[in-house]
Amino acid sequence: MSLARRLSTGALVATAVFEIALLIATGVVRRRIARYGIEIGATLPSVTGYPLHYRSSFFAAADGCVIYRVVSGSCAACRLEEPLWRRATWAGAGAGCEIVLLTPDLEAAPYPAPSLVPQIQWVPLDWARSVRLAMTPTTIATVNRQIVWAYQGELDPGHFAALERRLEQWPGK
Amino acid sequence: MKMPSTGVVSEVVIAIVLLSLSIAGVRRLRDQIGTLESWRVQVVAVDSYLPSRSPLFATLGGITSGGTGAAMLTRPPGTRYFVAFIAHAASFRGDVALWTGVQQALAPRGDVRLVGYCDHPGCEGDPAAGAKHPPFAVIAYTDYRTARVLLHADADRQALVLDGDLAALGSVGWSERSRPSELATAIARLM
Repeated sequence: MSLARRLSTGALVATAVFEIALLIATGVVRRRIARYGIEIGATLPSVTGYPLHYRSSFFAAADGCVIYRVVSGSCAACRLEEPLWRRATWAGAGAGCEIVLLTPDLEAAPYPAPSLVPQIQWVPLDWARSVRLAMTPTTIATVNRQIVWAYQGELDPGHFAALERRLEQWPGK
Repeated sequence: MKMPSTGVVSEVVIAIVLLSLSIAGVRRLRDQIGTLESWRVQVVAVDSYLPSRSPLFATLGGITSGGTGAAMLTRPPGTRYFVAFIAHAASFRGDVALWTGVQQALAPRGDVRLVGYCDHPGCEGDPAAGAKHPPFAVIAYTDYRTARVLLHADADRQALVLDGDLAALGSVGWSERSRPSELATAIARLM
Protein backbone atom coordinates (compact mmCIF):
# COMPACT_ATOMS: atom_id res chain seq x y z
CA MET A 1 0.00 0.00 0.00
CA SER A 2 1.38 3.41 -0.94
CA LEU A 3 2.09 6.09 1.63
CA ALA A 4 -0.66 8.31 0.21
CA ARG A 5 -3.16 5.47 0.46
CA ARG A 6 -2.14 4.69 4.01
CA LEU A 7 -2.45 8.36 5.00
CA SER A 8 -5.85 8.81 3.39
CA THR A 9 -7.16 5.60 4.96
CA GLY A 10 -5.78 6.70 8.34
CA ALA A 11 -7.43 10.12 7.95
CA LEU A 12 -10.74 8.51 7.07
CA VAL A 13 -10.61 6.13 10.03
CA ALA A 14 -9.61 8.96 12.39
CA THR A 15 -12.47 11.08 11.09
CA ALA A 16 -14.94 8.25 11.56
CA VAL A 17 -13.71 7.68 15.13
CA PHE A 18 -14.01 11.41 15.80
CA GLU A 19 -17.59 11.48 14.44
CA ILE A 20 -18.57 8.51 16.59
CA ALA A 21 -17.01 10.14 19.68
CA LEU A 22 -18.87 13.36 18.87
CA LEU A 23 -22.18 11.50 18.56
CA ILE A 24 -21.62 9.71 21.87
CA ALA A 25 -20.60 12.94 23.63
CA THR A 26 -23.66 14.75 22.25
CA GLY A 27 -25.91 11.93 23.43
CA VAL A 28 -24.39 11.98 26.92
CA VAL A 29 -24.68 15.77 27.21
CA ARG A 30 -28.27 15.71 25.96
CA ARG A 31 -29.18 13.12 28.57
CA ARG A 32 -27.58 15.25 31.28
CA ILE A 33 -29.41 18.34 30.05
CA ALA A 34 -32.65 16.38 30.30
CA ARG A 35 -31.69 15.47 33.86
CA TYR A 36 -31.11 19.06 34.86
CA GLY A 37 -33.72 20.49 32.64
CA ILE A 38 -37.20 19.37 31.76
CA GLU A 39 -37.58 16.12 29.94
CA ILE A 40 -40.07 15.92 27.09
CA GLY A 41 -42.28 12.88 27.58
CA ALA A 42 -41.88 12.90 31.36
CA THR A 43 -44.96 12.86 33.54
CA LEU A 44 -45.94 16.05 35.33
CA PRO A 45 -48.99 15.66 37.56
CA SER A 46 -51.64 18.36 37.23
CA VAL A 47 -50.86 21.02 39.77
CA THR A 48 -53.05 21.69 42.74
CA GLY A 49 -52.51 24.54 45.14
CA TYR A 50 -53.42 27.96 46.36
CA PRO A 51 -52.86 31.47 45.12
CA LEU A 52 -50.79 33.93 47.13
CA HIS A 53 -53.85 35.09 49.01
CA TYR A 54 -54.83 31.62 50.07
CA ARG A 55 -58.34 32.53 51.05
CA SER A 56 -59.10 32.47 47.33
CA SER A 57 -60.27 29.10 46.24
CA PHE A 58 -58.17 25.98 45.97
CA PHE A 59 -57.02 25.38 42.40
CA ALA A 60 -56.67 22.11 40.56
CA ALA A 61 -55.58 22.04 36.93
CA ALA A 62 -57.54 19.85 34.57
CA ASP A 63 -56.01 16.72 33.11
CA GLY A 64 -56.28 17.72 29.45
CA CYS A 65 -53.99 20.37 28.02
CA VAL A 66 -52.26 22.56 30.60
CA ILE A 67 -49.63 25.20 29.89
CA TYR A 68 -47.54 26.16 32.88
CA ARG A 69 -45.78 29.49 32.88
CA VAL A 70 -43.16 29.78 35.59
CA VAL A 71 -42.80 33.50 36.12
CA SER A 72 -41.59 36.08 38.57
CA GLY A 73 -42.58 39.65 39.27
CA SER A 74 -38.91 40.61 39.10
CA CYS A 75 -38.24 38.81 35.80
CA ALA A 76 -37.89 41.30 32.96
CA ALA A 77 -37.94 38.57 30.30
CA CYS A 78 -41.28 37.34 31.64
CA ARG A 79 -42.82 40.74 31.10
CA LEU A 80 -41.28 41.01 27.62
CA GLU A 81 -43.09 37.89 26.44
CA GLU A 82 -46.38 39.00 28.01
CA PRO A 83 -47.75 40.77 24.87
CA LEU A 84 -47.18 37.56 22.90
CA TRP A 85 -49.19 35.64 25.47
CA ARG A 86 -51.99 38.15 25.30
CA ARG A 87 -52.13 37.75 21.53
CA ALA A 88 -51.87 33.99 21.64
CA THR A 89 -55.57 33.34 21.64
CA TRP A 90 -55.04 29.74 20.60
CA ALA A 91 -53.67 29.13 24.05
CA GLY A 92 -57.05 29.76 25.55
CA ALA A 93 -60.38 28.25 24.77
CA GLY A 94 -59.55 27.82 21.09
CA ALA A 95 -57.02 25.11 21.74
CA GLY A 96 -58.77 23.88 24.86
CA CYS A 97 -55.66 24.56 26.92
CA GLU A 98 -55.62 25.85 30.44
CA ILE A 99 -52.89 28.36 31.29
CA VAL A 100 -51.53 28.35 34.83
CA LEU A 101 -49.00 30.80 36.22
CA LEU A 102 -46.58 29.55 38.85
CA THR A 103 -44.52 31.88 40.99
CA PRO A 104 -41.68 29.73 42.31
CA ASP A 105 -40.93 31.70 45.43
CA LEU A 106 -42.57 34.30 47.58
CA GLU A 107 -40.22 37.01 46.32
CA ALA A 108 -41.46 36.26 42.77
CA ALA A 109 -45.05 37.05 43.66
CA PRO A 110 -47.33 38.57 42.68
CA TYR A 111 -46.82 38.47 38.94
CA PRO A 112 -48.76 41.15 37.02
CA ALA A 113 -51.05 39.20 34.72
CA PRO A 114 -54.73 39.14 33.78
CA SER A 115 -56.71 38.18 36.85
CA LEU A 116 -58.57 35.45 34.97
CA VAL A 117 -55.36 33.43 34.69
CA PRO A 118 -54.84 31.36 37.84
CA GLN A 119 -51.60 32.16 39.66
CA ILE A 120 -50.39 29.47 42.02
CA GLN A 121 -48.03 30.22 44.88
CA TRP A 122 -48.46 27.34 47.33
CA VAL A 123 -47.91 23.87 45.88
CA PRO A 124 -47.82 20.44 47.49
CA LEU A 125 -44.40 18.93 48.08
CA ASP A 126 -45.09 15.91 45.92
CA TRP A 127 -45.78 18.17 42.96
CA ALA A 128 -42.58 20.15 43.62
CA ARG A 129 -40.70 16.85 43.63
CA SER A 130 -41.98 15.99 40.15
CA VAL A 131 -40.39 18.88 38.26
CA ARG A 132 -37.11 20.76 38.45
CA LEU A 133 -37.66 24.41 37.64
CA ALA A 134 -34.35 26.21 37.36
CA MET A 135 -35.26 29.57 35.92
CA THR A 136 -37.94 32.09 34.99
CA PRO A 137 -39.50 32.28 32.52
CA THR A 138 -40.07 28.61 31.87
CA THR A 139 -42.97 27.34 29.79
CA ILE A 140 -44.16 23.76 29.99
CA ALA A 141 -47.04 22.32 27.99
CA THR A 142 -48.59 19.09 29.19
CA VAL A 143 -51.26 16.96 27.62
CA ASN A 144 -52.86 14.46 29.94
CA ARG A 145 -50.01 14.99 32.42
CA GLN A 146 -47.30 14.28 29.88
CA ILE A 147 -44.81 17.03 29.02
CA VAL A 148 -45.12 17.60 25.28
CA TRP A 149 -43.20 20.85 24.96
CA ALA A 150 -41.00 22.96 27.21
CA TYR A 151 -38.74 25.94 26.91
CA GLN A 152 -36.58 27.66 29.49
CA GLY A 153 -36.06 31.30 28.69
CA GLU A 154 -37.92 34.11 26.96
CA LEU A 155 -40.28 32.99 24.22
CA ASP A 156 -40.31 34.58 20.79
CA PRO A 157 -42.92 34.19 18.01
CA GLY A 158 -41.01 31.16 16.69
CA HIS A 159 -41.42 29.38 20.01
CA PHE A 160 -45.13 30.15 20.02
CA ALA A 161 -45.42 28.70 16.53
CA ALA A 162 -43.57 25.55 17.66
CA LEU A 163 -45.82 25.22 20.69
CA GLU A 164 -48.90 25.73 18.54
CA ARG A 165 -47.73 23.06 16.08
CA ARG A 166 -47.09 20.65 18.93
CA LEU A 167 -50.49 21.21 20.47
CA GLU A 168 -52.23 20.79 17.13
CA GLN A 169 -51.22 17.16 17.32
CA TRP A 170 -53.18 16.81 20.53
CA PRO A 171 -56.02 14.43 19.70
CA GLY A 172 -58.26 15.87 22.38
CA LYS A 173 -58.28 19.29 20.79
CA MET B 1 4.62 13.19 -10.99
CA LYS B 2 2.34 10.27 -10.18
CA MET B 3 -1.31 11.18 -9.64
CA PRO B 4 -3.02 9.72 -6.56
CA SER B 5 -5.52 6.97 -7.27
CA THR B 6 -9.27 7.60 -7.34
CA GLY B 7 -9.64 5.65 -4.07
CA VAL B 8 -7.22 7.92 -2.25
CA VAL B 9 -8.93 11.03 -3.57
CA SER B 10 -12.35 9.69 -2.57
CA GLU B 11 -11.15 8.88 0.94
CA VAL B 12 -9.62 12.32 1.39
CA VAL B 13 -12.78 13.99 0.07
CA ILE B 14 -14.99 11.91 2.38
CA ALA B 15 -12.76 12.72 5.36
CA ILE B 16 -12.87 16.45 4.54
CA VAL B 17 -16.67 16.40 4.13
CA LEU B 18 -17.11 14.51 7.42
CA LEU B 19 -14.81 16.90 9.26
CA SER B 20 -16.57 19.95 7.86
CA LEU B 21 -19.94 18.50 8.87
CA SER B 22 -18.65 17.86 12.35
CA ILE B 23 -17.78 21.55 12.86
CA ALA B 24 -21.47 22.31 13.46
CA GLY B 25 -21.66 19.29 15.76
CA VAL B 26 -18.66 20.49 17.78
CA ARG B 27 -20.18 23.96 18.11
CA ARG B 28 -23.51 22.48 19.21
CA LEU B 29 -21.75 20.24 21.71
CA ARG B 30 -19.82 23.23 23.10
CA ASP B 31 -23.09 25.20 23.52
CA GLN B 32 -24.78 22.23 25.18
CA ILE B 33 -21.89 21.81 27.61
CA GLY B 34 -22.19 25.53 28.45
CA THR B 35 -25.94 25.17 29.03
CA LEU B 36 -25.40 22.07 31.12
CA GLU B 37 -22.81 23.77 33.29
CA SER B 38 -24.93 26.86 33.89
CA TRP B 39 -27.96 24.69 34.79
CA ARG B 40 -25.84 22.51 37.05
CA VAL B 41 -24.63 25.57 38.95
CA GLN B 42 -28.16 26.99 39.18
CA VAL B 43 -29.78 23.74 40.23
CA VAL B 44 -27.18 22.98 42.88
CA ALA B 45 -27.54 26.51 44.24
CA VAL B 46 -31.34 26.39 44.19
CA ASP B 47 -31.67 23.12 46.08
CA SER B 48 -28.70 23.53 48.43
CA TYR B 49 -29.27 23.41 52.16
CA LEU B 50 -25.65 23.93 53.18
CA PRO B 51 -25.02 26.43 55.99
CA SER B 52 -25.05 29.98 54.69
CA ARG B 53 -25.35 33.51 55.95
CA SER B 54 -28.13 34.39 53.53
CA PRO B 55 -31.66 32.99 53.78
CA LEU B 56 -32.14 29.59 52.14
CA PHE B 57 -35.59 30.58 50.88
CA ALA B 58 -38.07 33.40 51.17
CA THR B 59 -40.55 31.72 53.47
CA LEU B 60 -41.21 28.72 55.66
CA GLY B 61 -44.90 29.43 55.35
CA GLY B 62 -47.69 27.74 53.56
CA ILE B 63 -51.11 26.25 53.84
CA THR B 64 -52.00 23.46 56.20
CA SER B 65 -53.51 20.21 55.02
CA GLY B 66 -57.01 20.56 53.68
CA GLY B 67 -56.49 24.28 53.23
CA THR B 68 -57.65 24.92 56.79
CA GLY B 69 -55.34 27.88 57.21
CA ALA B 70 -52.05 29.57 56.60
CA ALA B 71 -49.10 28.92 58.86
CA MET B 72 -45.73 30.51 59.48
CA LEU B 73 -46.29 33.36 57.03
CA THR B 74 -44.76 35.69 59.60
CA ARG B 75 -42.12 34.98 62.21
CA PRO B 76 -43.76 34.08 65.53
CA PRO B 77 -42.74 36.49 68.31
CA GLY B 78 -39.75 35.37 70.34
CA THR B 79 -38.61 32.84 67.76
CA ARG B 80 -34.87 32.88 67.06
CA TYR B 81 -34.54 29.47 65.45
CA PHE B 82 -36.57 27.17 63.25
CA VAL B 83 -36.30 23.46 62.68
CA ALA B 84 -37.86 22.38 59.40
CA PHE B 85 -38.44 18.73 58.54
CA ILE B 86 -40.68 16.56 56.39
CA ALA B 87 -43.20 14.33 58.10
CA HIS B 88 -43.74 11.51 55.64
CA ALA B 89 -47.24 10.42 54.75
CA ALA B 90 -46.16 6.78 54.92
CA SER B 91 -44.94 7.13 58.52
CA PHE B 92 -46.81 10.24 59.57
CA ARG B 93 -47.86 9.00 63.00
CA GLY B 94 -44.34 7.92 64.00
CA ASP B 95 -42.73 11.03 62.56
CA VAL B 96 -45.12 13.31 64.43
CA ALA B 97 -44.57 11.39 67.67
CA LEU B 98 -40.79 11.70 67.28
CA TRP B 99 -40.88 15.44 66.56
CA THR B 100 -43.38 16.01 69.35
CA GLY B 101 -40.72 14.55 71.65
CA VAL B 102 -38.11 16.87 70.15
CA GLN B 103 -40.45 19.84 70.64
CA GLN B 104 -40.89 18.90 74.29
CA ALA B 105 -37.15 18.55 74.78
CA LEU B 106 -36.51 21.96 73.23
CA ALA B 107 -39.46 23.70 74.88
CA PRO B 108 -37.48 25.05 77.88
CA ARG B 109 -35.43 27.21 75.49
CA GLY B 110 -38.56 29.02 74.35
CA ASP B 111 -36.95 30.38 71.19
CA VAL B 112 -37.20 27.40 68.82
CA ARG B 113 -40.13 26.73 66.52
CA LEU B 114 -40.58 23.40 64.76
CA VAL B 115 -42.23 23.36 61.35
CA GLY B 116 -43.29 20.11 59.78
CA TYR B 117 -44.08 19.63 56.10
CA CYS B 118 -46.21 16.88 54.77
CA ASP B 119 -44.85 15.16 51.66
CA HIS B 120 -48.41 14.50 50.51
CA PRO B 121 -51.22 17.03 50.84
CA GLY B 122 -53.55 14.55 52.50
CA CYS B 123 -51.27 13.11 55.15
CA GLU B 124 -52.39 15.21 58.08
CA GLY B 125 -56.04 14.69 57.39
CA ASP B 126 -55.78 11.01 56.56
CA PRO B 127 -57.52 9.01 59.29
CA ALA B 128 -55.17 6.11 58.52
CA ALA B 129 -52.29 8.27 59.65
CA GLY B 130 -53.94 8.37 63.05
CA ALA B 131 -51.68 11.04 64.48
CA LYS B 132 -52.95 13.30 67.22
CA HIS B 133 -52.99 16.98 66.43
CA PRO B 134 -49.27 17.83 66.43
CA PRO B 135 -47.96 20.61 68.69
CA PHE B 136 -46.33 22.29 65.70
CA ALA B 137 -47.50 23.52 62.32
CA VAL B 138 -47.77 20.88 59.62
CA ILE B 139 -47.75 22.49 56.22
CA ALA B 140 -49.04 20.71 53.15
CA TYR B 141 -48.68 23.44 50.50
CA THR B 142 -45.65 25.68 50.40
CA ASP B 143 -43.50 27.73 48.12
CA TYR B 144 -41.88 25.73 45.28
CA ARG B 145 -38.33 26.81 46.24
CA THR B 146 -38.89 26.02 49.91
CA ALA B 147 -40.30 22.65 48.93
CA ARG B 148 -37.29 21.84 46.73
CA VAL B 149 -34.75 22.64 49.45
CA LEU B 150 -36.71 20.64 52.04
CA LEU B 151 -37.04 17.70 49.64
CA HIS B 152 -33.32 17.80 48.91
CA ALA B 153 -32.52 17.76 52.63
CA ASP B 154 -35.07 15.03 53.23
CA ALA B 155 -33.57 12.88 50.49
CA ASP B 156 -30.44 12.93 52.67
CA ARG B 157 -32.65 12.29 55.74
CA GLN B 158 -31.81 15.67 57.20
CA ALA B 159 -33.88 18.24 59.09
CA LEU B 160 -32.85 21.86 58.69
CA VAL B 161 -31.87 24.14 61.54
CA LEU B 162 -32.38 27.78 60.57
CA ASP B 163 -31.95 31.11 62.26
CA GLY B 164 -34.72 33.68 62.49
CA ASP B 165 -33.84 35.05 59.05
CA LEU B 166 -34.02 31.56 57.52
CA ALA B 167 -30.26 31.22 57.00
CA ALA B 168 -29.18 27.61 57.45
CA LEU B 169 -27.15 26.94 60.58
CA GLY B 170 -26.82 23.31 59.66
CA SER B 171 -28.80 20.11 59.48
CA VAL B 172 -29.32 17.06 61.64
CA GLY B 173 -29.79 13.52 60.41
CA TRP B 174 -32.83 11.65 61.65
CA SER B 175 -34.82 8.50 61.09
CA GLU B 176 -37.76 6.68 62.68
CA ARG B 177 -35.24 5.15 65.10
CA SER B 178 -33.88 8.50 66.30
CA ARG B 179 -34.35 9.36 69.97
CA PRO B 180 -36.01 12.74 70.58
CA SER B 181 -33.58 13.75 73.33
CA GLU B 182 -30.53 13.01 71.17
CA LEU B 183 -32.07 14.84 68.22
CA ALA B 184 -32.85 17.85 70.43
CA THR B 185 -29.26 17.87 71.70
CA ALA B 186 -27.90 17.77 68.15
CA ILE B 187 -30.21 20.62 67.14
CA ALA B 188 -29.28 22.75 70.17
CA ARG B 189 -25.60 22.26 69.38
CA LEU B 190 -26.11 24.09 66.08
CA MET B 191 -27.71 27.15 67.73
